[in-house]
Amino acid sequence: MATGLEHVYPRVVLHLGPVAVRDTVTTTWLLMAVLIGFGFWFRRHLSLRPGRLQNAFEALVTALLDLVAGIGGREDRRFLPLLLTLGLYITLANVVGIVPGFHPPTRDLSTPLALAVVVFGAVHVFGVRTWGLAGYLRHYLQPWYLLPIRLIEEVSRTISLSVRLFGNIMGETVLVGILVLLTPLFLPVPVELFSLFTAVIQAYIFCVLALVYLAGATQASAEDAA
Amino acid sequence: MTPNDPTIYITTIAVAGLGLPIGVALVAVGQGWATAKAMDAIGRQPDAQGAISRTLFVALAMLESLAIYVLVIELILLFANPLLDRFVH
Repeated sequence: MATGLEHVYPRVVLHLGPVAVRDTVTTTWLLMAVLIGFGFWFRRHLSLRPGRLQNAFEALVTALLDLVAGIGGREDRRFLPLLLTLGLYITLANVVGIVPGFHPPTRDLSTPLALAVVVFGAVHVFGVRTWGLAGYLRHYLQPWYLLPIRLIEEVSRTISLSVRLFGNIMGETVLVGILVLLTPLFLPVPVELFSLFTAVIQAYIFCVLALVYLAGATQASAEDAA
Repeated sequence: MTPNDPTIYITTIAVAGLGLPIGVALVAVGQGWATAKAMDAIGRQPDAQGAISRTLFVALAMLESLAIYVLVIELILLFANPLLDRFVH
């Protein structure tokens, strides 16, 4: 491995007993602390006359509710906590690379895979909660001959959801790393700026796809049942 | 094949180098086509911009994952080839 590109791979930074903890995990802990701390601080400063920050977050929530209504067909507040958490965490995780000394945790396949597994679980939980176990399982059999494809899709979309985020962020990290090796001063700056754009877009894409899957589990069976 | 024969490395690098442009170029054509169609649709019906761009984003993400699959396979080929120890002793 060329010198200067080591940070592309996650490093082991500390050992907890037999478990090797990589910098992905420690950065994630830090981001969790920041997000949770900010949440508590923000909740205590909520007011009826919103300030600038509260306005921004209210606009974010409104935009997300519109998105849910646009994709899911009706306003569904149940998805809001999951989607906002995913969105805020992924955005923060993708852009944390611009802070010196930190590297995006999403460049390690484990992080996006964990998030995608959360989405995979949430899809079934919301589906069963909406339609009951039998009703939810029945929608797999709607045209019965599509059952194998449905089952493959469940796995493949989880993989593609995680690999998409991983590939984008990993690719950006490698690209910026190589550019820094070639032309250290000027060229990496616009590419780094563009990677901020990619970071936010990828977080948005992840949320929208999670929402599409959730809406599919809670609404597609509605058409069948109707 | 003799031990430490460089053929496997040369083949891997050649396949990776030639395969990535092919995979990515086709996806790029598809993405450009989808975007052009969406622009057409927005031009015809500016009111539907929100719905069209949402659908476009989801479609682009689906298309993009194909290019990312190519990238991941390239990374596996180059850095974590599971078949390598059959050729190199």
